[in-house]
Amino acid sequence: MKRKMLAFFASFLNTTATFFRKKETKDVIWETIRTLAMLLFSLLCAVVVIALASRDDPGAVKVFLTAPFEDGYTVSRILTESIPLMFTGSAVCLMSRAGQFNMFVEGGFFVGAFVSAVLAPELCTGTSSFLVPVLCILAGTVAAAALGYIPAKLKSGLGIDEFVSSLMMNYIVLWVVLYLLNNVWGDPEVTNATKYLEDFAKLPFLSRDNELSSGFIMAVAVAVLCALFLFKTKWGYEIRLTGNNREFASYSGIRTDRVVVYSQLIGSGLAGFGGGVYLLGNYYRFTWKTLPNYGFDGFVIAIMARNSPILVPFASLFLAYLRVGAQQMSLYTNVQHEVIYIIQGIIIILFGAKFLMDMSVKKKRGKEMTV
Amino acid sequence: MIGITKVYPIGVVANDSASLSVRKGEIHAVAGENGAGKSTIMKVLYGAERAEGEIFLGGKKEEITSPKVANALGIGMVYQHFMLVKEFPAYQNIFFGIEETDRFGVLKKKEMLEKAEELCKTYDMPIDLDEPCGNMSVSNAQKVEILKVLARGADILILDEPTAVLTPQETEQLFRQLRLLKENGYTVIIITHKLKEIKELCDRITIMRAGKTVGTYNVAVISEAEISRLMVGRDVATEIPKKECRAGDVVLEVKGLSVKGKGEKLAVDHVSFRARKGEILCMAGVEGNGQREVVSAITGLSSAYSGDVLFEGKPIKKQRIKAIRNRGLVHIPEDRLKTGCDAGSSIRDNLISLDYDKNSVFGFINYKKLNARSLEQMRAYEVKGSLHHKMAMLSGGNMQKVIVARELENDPVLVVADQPTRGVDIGAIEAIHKKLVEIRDEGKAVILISADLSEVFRLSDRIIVFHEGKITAEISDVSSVDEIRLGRYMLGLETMEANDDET
Repeated sequence: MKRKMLAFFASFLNTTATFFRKKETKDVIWETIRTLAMLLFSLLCAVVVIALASRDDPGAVKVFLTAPFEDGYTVSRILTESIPLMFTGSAVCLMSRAGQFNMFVEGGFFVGAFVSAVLAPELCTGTSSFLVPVLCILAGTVAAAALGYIPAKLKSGLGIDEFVSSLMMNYIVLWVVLYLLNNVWGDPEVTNATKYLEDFAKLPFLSRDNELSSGFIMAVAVAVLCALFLFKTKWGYEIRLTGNNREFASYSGIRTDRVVVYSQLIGSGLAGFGGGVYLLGNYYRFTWKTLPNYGFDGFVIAIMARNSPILVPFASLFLAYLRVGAQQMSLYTNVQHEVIYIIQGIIIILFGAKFLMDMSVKKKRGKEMTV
Repeated sequence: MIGITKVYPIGVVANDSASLSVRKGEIHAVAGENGAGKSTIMKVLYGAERAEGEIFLGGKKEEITSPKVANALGIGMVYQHFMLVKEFPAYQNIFFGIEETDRFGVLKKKEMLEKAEELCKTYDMPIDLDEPCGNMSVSNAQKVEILKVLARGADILILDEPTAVLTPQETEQLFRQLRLLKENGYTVIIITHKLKEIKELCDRITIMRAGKTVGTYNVAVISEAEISRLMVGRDVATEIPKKECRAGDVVLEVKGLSVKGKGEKLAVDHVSFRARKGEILCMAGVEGNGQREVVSAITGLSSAYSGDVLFEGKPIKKQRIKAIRNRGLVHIPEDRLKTGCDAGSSIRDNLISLDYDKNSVFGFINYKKLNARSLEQMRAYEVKGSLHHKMAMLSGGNMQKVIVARELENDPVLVVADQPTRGVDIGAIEAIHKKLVEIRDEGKAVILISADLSEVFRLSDRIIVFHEGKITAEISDVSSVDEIRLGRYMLGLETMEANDDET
């Protein structure tokens, strides 16, 4: 018996050893270490910046780091903050895998939220079905996707750079929505707000006390589904091939003009979906006066996750943690929460630089292939 | 140079303790299969890459940290892909980076021209120094590259596969110039895997295999068969057994194909030809004489042409690439990195790009099945690496094997093989050639585009020669011409009236 156990133990050690000796495993471990090191470094930078900004307030650093884990409510704040980031981050990942830099995640998120908020009170008259939020979010998704179709089609049909046109689209959408909000579909009693949402129009809470909506689960699910979509389905395959080497993709028979369009349609749609989920999960009415910036945050997340949707939840939670920390800090100390943007900048530079470095290594290796 | 070990960051050992010693004033060949580490060792010597190990020059240990240091030590390199500014005239390219200027930074054109002219004369390289390099023929551009190295005062020249793009006549000329350099005391190191050239030109040869040096030999005492055995590690058949050609129905018909080129001239000028089942039709010619445009037209990649291209009787122009591909047109493209593969994806993803959609259920790709198939193909084509390795980690030869495997295993009716063995080692060339002949023997049509004359003669049943966008010769009996004659057709020195053979 003892012998058997020993033999089993030895074989277990053996397989573990080969597993760790494998090159792919080594790569993964190495990547993880590097990523963690970069996160730690940016955290360190944050601490230094805060320490400098709060010389008369020595507790600020501690508040920044620990306050997010203070109690259930603050933890739930982290999860809540990460919801929009996961949606927009996944959307950006999908589009940049196809080589498309569509900024309409921002506008899409905004429109998705607006459409769901406008539609919910209308649908509520008469029914009180669980279908109400579903339909509202669906409508928001469709609206965002339809608007995202414009820059996508401009790109594939006329070769107009999607980056510029989608950026412009964001502002068109912003002002049109604000017009509609104040003149057509808003709450006539107040300015710049929709009517209040009925309770059953809202998404159910996971924890009512901590105000954590079930949107969190949807957000994680969306990231996982995006990963499956990218790496298991034929459409994901087409997206990856087109993004990496469009010439090769079309030589293989892939209709890359279509890929360009549908990747952006899905991306914008996801952003709209996220907007709907976030609004119906965490607000009682739509009151945004400017673009909420979650779309642009999506790019930060995608850079941190290196365009891998499965890493999006982790990146989102990290950024959300920093943000909640900064909010708590500005509550308890005299350091403003805007320091968070310094940290965000550092993260972008760190991860962006690594991104570029990897790409240049790839290119260099590509060039060596000739002999 | 003693004991260079070069380890790539990703972990593929390219030069695993290779050593090389070259004598002053000799022409030294470095030969080996693809991925054997020839280029790497040369790049190390030229300072373009760093490695462990030591380099001795004239008995003195040197640290060559960059090409600049190498230049200062008198080492110059001519890359396979030319590093010239296309828009600049030849003399400016020759003195690029070491321009002579007056106090105000204005180029001293006269002095530079004089110097360049002298170099040209000394080494018998007549070129027009005022001509922009982009307009030059490949062989002239190569001369500019060599002059560029000489102008920097190099006395050790490294040439990376210099004859890959030259016709026999141009090769002959290059060899004359290299011998002249040798007589003037220069040392020439040339990377090649063409055995004939080694025998003809070189004094000594260092053979590399799998990152290690096998040995250095006097060319005079080693036979071609010996060299190829040492390179591959086993005997290689130089002849491919071929059944007699039995050409069948027309698969592809090209009628009056014209493609616009730069400026007034037509890149392809009213070209007509047919490809038949059971036949290897070779499009021979110096690069840039319209073959590329013809290939784009017959593979459906470009539809900017006039005339007709009929694949199995139907015009290609109106069809999507997918449709043409599904009907059995396979294409091994000339530029494997740009067109032939996705370096950022895995080997597996590169192997399934033609039929991933046919192997999907509800949009989900049946990876289980395709993984098994890809593994099988990798084994059959002897691709080194594993399924999930990035394509970019492979050497050029292995990359080409992946592309060839994907294309040829996709039920071809017509194979368009554009430089299928360029930069590929002897072992793989043999395998690819065998496969092409096999496909032809199965009664399928093959169109081969090649600048390598030995390949042309080895494989083709019929040759059409392109020169300046026109077919200048059509040779139905390949054994009736020799390399010299074919070279003359390719250079446009001789033409043959194309007679339509309606057999």
